[in-house]
Amino acid sequence: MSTLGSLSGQLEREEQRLRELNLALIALEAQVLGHAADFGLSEEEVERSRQKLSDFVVRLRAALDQEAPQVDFQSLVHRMKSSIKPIEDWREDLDALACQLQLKEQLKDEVLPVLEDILSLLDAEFTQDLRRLYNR
Amino acid sequence: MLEYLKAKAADYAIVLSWIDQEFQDIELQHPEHHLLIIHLQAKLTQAKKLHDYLKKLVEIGNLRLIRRALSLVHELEYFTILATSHYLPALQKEGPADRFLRQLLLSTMKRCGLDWIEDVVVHLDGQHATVSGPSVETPLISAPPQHAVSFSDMPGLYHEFGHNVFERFPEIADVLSMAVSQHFAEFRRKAGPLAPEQRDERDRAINDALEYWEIKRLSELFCDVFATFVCGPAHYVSCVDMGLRFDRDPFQVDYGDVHPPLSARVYACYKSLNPIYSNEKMIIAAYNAWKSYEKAQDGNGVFELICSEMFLDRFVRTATHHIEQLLPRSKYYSVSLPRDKELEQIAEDMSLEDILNRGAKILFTYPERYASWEERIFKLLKSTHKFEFE
Repeated sequence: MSTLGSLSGQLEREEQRLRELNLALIALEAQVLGHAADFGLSEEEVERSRQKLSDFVVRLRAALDQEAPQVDFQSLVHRMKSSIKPIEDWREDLDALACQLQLKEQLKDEVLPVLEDILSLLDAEFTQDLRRLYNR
Repeated sequence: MLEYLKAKAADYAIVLSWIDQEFQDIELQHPEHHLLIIHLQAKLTQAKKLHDYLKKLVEIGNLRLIRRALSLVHELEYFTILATSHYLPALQKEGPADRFLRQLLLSTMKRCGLDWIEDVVVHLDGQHATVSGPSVETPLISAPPQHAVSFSDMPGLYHEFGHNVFERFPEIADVLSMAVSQHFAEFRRKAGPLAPEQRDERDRAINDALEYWEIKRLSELFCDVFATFVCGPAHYVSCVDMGLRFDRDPFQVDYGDVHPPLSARVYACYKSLNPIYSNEKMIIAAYNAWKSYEKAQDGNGVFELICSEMFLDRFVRTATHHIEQLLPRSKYYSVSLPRDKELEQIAEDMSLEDILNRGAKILFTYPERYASWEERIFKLLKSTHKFEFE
């Protein structure tokens, strides 16, 4: 019985989400650090990145309060609830982050680590499945 | 870390360039895979963008930006594995037997309602598996090499088609996940008077059950339902065979395996079968064999909770309803299986499902006649598909 069928589908979804959010975060951080032009990013592209992250954070925040979150958020919510950071802190941080992302201003330094932490959780989920695809 | 990332950026430059060249060569050699190559090249373009970002992060060298670089490496690695361990070997080594099965599967998948399929690459190199990384329209299907000459275990291919359906329609995962939530919410409410510690323990077990039914397990069980829905008795018999020949504890709930316990899978297949087959001799034989095997094993409370019949019935109802809704051209397999001499007759217009069901019935009723029948039907298939074989 191969695990490849369900694994490859899951990996594809995880990779797509991670890629889009990671590139969006790089765009925002590059803007904060004055390197947006080095990546060839226009203001519109940075704005689209902000919107992408904002949409994701709003959905994630809602999923945290749901008894049965949507399938694509279940694993992330489970990881957040199992992390050493109390769930109440996650809620507060996500609320602050969502507000920041809705303002069309440069992101403040204190909210960026929250995004980085979320992406680390997504990356951990992705690499856990990736290791199953590559067993050396 | 910076030195490592510089090394990886240089490393991926070579690998991506080589993959690019291989895709171009394959397109020239195998124009029939043009659409697949287009999807692979689109994936390569995404990988090249990730590589450009990796190179830029390394060049800037800012510590904060560098923190994003490892994720880029992971994503690049995913593409590299997909291309170099799966698609390229299948395309580079595609032989006459792979091409024969490809033709057979292309028409079979369309008939089963997967009308979005543009191309499929078959790799007869091992166990049944599928990858649909670049796009659901162009899956790779791995299968045992004996499929070049034998139908043995071939119904398992329909399970692989199920994975493609599951990926094509994300709403299937959503509705199945909802069915899980609803079932266990109702079960939670049914608790009678309990001491607080008993209630806590029960709630914990229910929470574990909810976590158990993650998307990958929903996918595997859905594929069993789908395969039986479109392929009928032959798939049910093949699922029982899989359970018996590996002698695994059919009730074991293994959190490290994405496949649900075999008893749950066999039960779901049986419930997905058209009831017209319940008096079919091979179904009765397979059912009885499985039941006697189950009776010899010890059950366990975790299985009873996670894979209760009430839950599995709901799962099968939900899955089949959505197969009918989302794949209107799929057909619930309900062909009457002929008897006696008529059973062995072969015709050019027989579908692969008809062939597999007749084959299974011959195996269960006249096993001594099976080998010559299989040989005859393979000859017919190869001539129908106008394919020259060594």
